[in-house]
Amino acid sequence: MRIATSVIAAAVWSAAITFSPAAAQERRNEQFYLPGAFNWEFLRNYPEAARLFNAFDYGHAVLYERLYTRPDSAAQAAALAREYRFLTTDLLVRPPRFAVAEEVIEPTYARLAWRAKMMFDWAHILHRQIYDVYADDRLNDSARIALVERLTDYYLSNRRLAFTPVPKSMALMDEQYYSQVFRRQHAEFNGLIWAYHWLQVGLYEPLIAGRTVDERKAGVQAALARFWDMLREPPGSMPAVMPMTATVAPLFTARHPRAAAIFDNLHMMHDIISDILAADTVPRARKREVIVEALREFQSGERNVMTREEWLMMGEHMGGIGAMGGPVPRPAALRAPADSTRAAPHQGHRP
Amino acid sequence: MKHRHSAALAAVLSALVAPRVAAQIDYRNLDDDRPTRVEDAYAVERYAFELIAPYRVERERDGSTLHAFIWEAAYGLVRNGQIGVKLPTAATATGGQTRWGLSGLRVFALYNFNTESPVLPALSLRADAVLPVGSLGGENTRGSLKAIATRSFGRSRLHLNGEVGLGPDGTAAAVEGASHWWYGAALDRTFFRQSTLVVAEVYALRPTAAAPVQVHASIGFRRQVTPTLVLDAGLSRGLRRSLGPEIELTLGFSHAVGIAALMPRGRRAGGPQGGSDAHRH
Repeated sequence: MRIATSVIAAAVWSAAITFSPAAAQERRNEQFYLPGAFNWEFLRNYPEAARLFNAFDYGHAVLYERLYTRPDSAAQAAALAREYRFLTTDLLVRPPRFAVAEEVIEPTYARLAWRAKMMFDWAHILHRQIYDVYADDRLNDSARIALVERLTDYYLSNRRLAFTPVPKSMALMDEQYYSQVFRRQHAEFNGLIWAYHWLQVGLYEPLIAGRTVDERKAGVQAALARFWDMLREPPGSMPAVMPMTATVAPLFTARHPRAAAIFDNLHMMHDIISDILAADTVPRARKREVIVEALREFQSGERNVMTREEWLMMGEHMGGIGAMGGPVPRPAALRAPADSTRAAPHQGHRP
Repeated sequence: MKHRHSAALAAVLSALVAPRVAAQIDYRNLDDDRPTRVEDAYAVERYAFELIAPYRVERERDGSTLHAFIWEAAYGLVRNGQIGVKLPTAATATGGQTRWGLSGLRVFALYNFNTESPVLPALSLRADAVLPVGSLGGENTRGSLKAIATRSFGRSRLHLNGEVGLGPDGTAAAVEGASHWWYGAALDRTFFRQSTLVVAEVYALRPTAAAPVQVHASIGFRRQVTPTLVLDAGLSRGLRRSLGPEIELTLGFSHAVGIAALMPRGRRAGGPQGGSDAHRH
């Protein structure tokens, strides 16, 4: 009795500490995603692609854990080299059937930056649900477009965790005092992350362009094959700059510009956190604070934003589709008719 | 009234048939009795319903057998907080006679104050009320207050639970009655490639003020079998001679679902020009 009472007293005392301003404790703030019959259609119809994303989740998580828990540069390089081998020779080849609980892979990082982890999770759910919508053969195209916009509304309704749907300035990623450290120190792992991001946005293209189930399946297989090609001779075969959604996925961007901007912001934030964790110029004691500042910036649709035109042209300024991993290959049957729905600024730049 | 009952039934049925809407990592949500008595400190996600259908069989030291189905539903009513209800039905088989009946009605609320930080574990408080409903539901309304802590160590987590019962003891419910007190610890380990959690626990329990203290040990697992469905199973035993069950087995399924009508619609936020009419570009 005494022990049980003591446990409860300790919990009440700890809860009081939790709510004291000095403690700055984070709340868990998990939220269920939008229900609907479309959920899990991508896993059902395209398991080889859906499972690959489970392995991507591991890759993102283990990267942050190793960057934060192995501050010594030699130990960090060795740890990341081991993880790179594990990913490219094992986990990506035999990916888990279900999503990876990232908290398990990055326990230390999750305690450092819980909100960042949750913002990524929330955006990844949007990613996954949009695949589900486009993989659901029972929906017609109008229903798919409307449903993705509804999903984006629901995503944005969670203001604690949503990235702004307004494109943010690339300077936030590339021109800060900690910028580009990770990609310089760990070029192969960085290339792998950019290859992930290429596929994550690129897969929307065959799902949109395909007019039949067979065309969509062939398109997804072609995109997967291109992803594997990127891993053949790293880092030269990998994207040289961050893949921009408008450049890699123009059909998707034309239909769903808010989601496309959210994913660019998400992918920029991925790189920013890698840099903050890797950079010696951010003292260990300040890493959380700097991450939180960057998160706040990426939730604002007012500051450091690009116009739609600047955003759509950004891919060309950065080196074009060739520098971003190349265009999503299209099976021959898809090439001609669907191109009329491309985002205008990119016409003529794709093969 | 009839209309309200129909609406409630419709809501429950919609939840039961809502297709494929749960997270894929629910196997890590360690609920009480699924399969261990010790639970983790986290509430179900906001707007999520968790529906649990478990079966339990206990072989007692006196040779009698207890079967129980403890239907449970929980809902993420607020951020980091859940409410729930348990409706246990039990059958006691003694000397060739079997008695079936409802074993009380339990309602509860759990609130999680924080996720883990570099310093603190995740902490929650839970309050339960057990109503003496049914022929096996005991004779008094009782309550309990429980504190829960969870801390991760790599791929393992340690959970501590401590609970005190409130109200008169009297004759307890056959299953799911509120104990005078109990406390315990569980250690789990996640196998992320298999989407499986294995867990072991030890806990001490005094069923009523006058009863001797029992010590139990349990092992079990939780496994994701579809994106929405978790299977769990466990085995438990009283460690003190002649106290607690000789052996207890449990098997259950958990299903997390959502109901779109209960979720925010969101409003169209600004972004780059486009949206639902962008296909006209």
